[in-house]
Amino acid sequence: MIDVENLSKSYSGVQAVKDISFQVEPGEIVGFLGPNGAGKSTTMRILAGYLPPTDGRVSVAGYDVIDDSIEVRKRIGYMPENVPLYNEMRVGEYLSYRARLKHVPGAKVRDRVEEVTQLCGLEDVSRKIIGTLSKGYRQRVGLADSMVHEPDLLILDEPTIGLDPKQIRSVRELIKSLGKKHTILLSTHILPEVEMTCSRVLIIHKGRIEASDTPDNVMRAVRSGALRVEVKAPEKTAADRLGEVAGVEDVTVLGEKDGWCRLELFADRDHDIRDGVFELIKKENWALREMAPGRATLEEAFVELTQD
Amino acid sequence: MTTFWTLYRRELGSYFLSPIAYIVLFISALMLGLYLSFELSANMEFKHNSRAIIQMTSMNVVAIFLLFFQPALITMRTFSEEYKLGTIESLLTAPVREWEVVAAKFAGAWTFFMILWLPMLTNVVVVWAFSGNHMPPVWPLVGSTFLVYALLGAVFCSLGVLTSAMTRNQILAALTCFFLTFMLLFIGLVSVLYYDPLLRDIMGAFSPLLQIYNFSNGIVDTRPIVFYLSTTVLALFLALRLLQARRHRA
Repeated sequence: MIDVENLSKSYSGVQAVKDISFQVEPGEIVGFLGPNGAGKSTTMRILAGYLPPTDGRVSVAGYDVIDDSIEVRKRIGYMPENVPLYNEMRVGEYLSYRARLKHVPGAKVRDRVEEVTQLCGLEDVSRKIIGTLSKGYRQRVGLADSMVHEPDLLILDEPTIGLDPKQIRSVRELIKSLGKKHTILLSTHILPEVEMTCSRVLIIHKGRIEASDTPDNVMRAVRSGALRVEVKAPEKTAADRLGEVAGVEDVTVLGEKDGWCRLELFADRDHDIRDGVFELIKKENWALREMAPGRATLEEAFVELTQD
Repeated sequence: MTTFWTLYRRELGSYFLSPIAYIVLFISALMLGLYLSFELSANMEFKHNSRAIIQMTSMNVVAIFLLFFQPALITMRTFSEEYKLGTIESLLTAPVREWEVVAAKFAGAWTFFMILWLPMLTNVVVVWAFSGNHMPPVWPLVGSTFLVYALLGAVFCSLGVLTSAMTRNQILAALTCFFLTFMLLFIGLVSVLYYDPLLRDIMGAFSPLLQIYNFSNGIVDTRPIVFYLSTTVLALFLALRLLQARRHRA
């Protein structure tokens, strides 16, 4: 659906995007992550046909964003950051205008507007003037606008920024349901959201792609404890004996209190050390209070991958 | 073409969504009407003929004042507001061509400008009605007067669209447009300052004031028509290039 080859973009001497390449397959929901100023919005704007790339080739659904810009834009629903809208128009009026602008046939405009109004929960405000809407509703109007022409690809730049937790959840559910029909590329800073919605993440940092994989694999790629255990045993003995279990590469003692010792065990990715560890604890007759998989969160992976 | 119509309808419609449009419309109609009634009552002793009515409404200090202020005020928001709100991004990522956007914005502004000058027509009709059919309108003169206003409106509105495409600051856009309008509107005055026959002829051919006088007297010259139309096209072309350049810089 998206094919980016050696894309670079610089403005007034500053290189915002440096020679990046990636693909997005039809039906994927891809989370586009990166610190502020990493080049996310720039990349999205290039994909949406708003900015021309300095170098490289970008195609969407087989059309080049420069040579067949109109064809590309017909197939994309783009929601810019901060959702710019005409404040003096009414919601329904704005959506019909946008539908017509995006070549929805005249006879279908009404149906499409009704459908997206319902999908985005805008029925109550469809007669309201956009300027009077709350942030959450504006966001939903932007989302409704982006999909009013049934595009193959949705590009959403921070769709949940500035929303309260309840609104975030409803937008997340909406995006998830949209994923069944559309390919989606979305950027966000809310990482649990990505874990829950996206089938793949792209992490961009300083204009370069640092990772492109499923959220699980990205988290695993970052070194982390495979297992956390809390046993009643002397600190040194526990650390030594657990270190001898097959597959365990390293042991870190996290703390000791009242004879209970908390440890984090590191193992290489292919080894499941849980059985071995449990056997040892049984053999040593240690009391066991906790044994839990300790894996890095996406947040930890993100921080590690985007370190300077 | 459908894209152009969609954009045009929004542009024209957007004027009527703000109270400012109605205020400008009200003030324009009021000023043109008042001026005519003062003129008629002040010059009661002269015999008015129907030819004079359209000339009276189109070529006077109030009309020139309105002609000077209206286009900049109408057009200042066309692009500046889109830049400022960021809506230019959603506009240009829809499947529209840049020239369609520029053309629609200009056409919307120009149509609204022409609506502002409809009171000129009502003046003629009102005098006709109240004179008991003694002063029927001279339609060719009314037509040529509207023609010159349409041409000047096109020039000034295109300059307004151009200055609006330059900046996100509406005030700056309006001031720049005022400056350009002023230069063009009073170009003919140069001939008064420098009494050179050749210069006077050249300036006169382009001078809006002289052309309003000529057209409202039925003298329809093709030279100013070509000049005004080509100036309009040039200004719109520059606006288009500015819009494209802005995207490369954005």
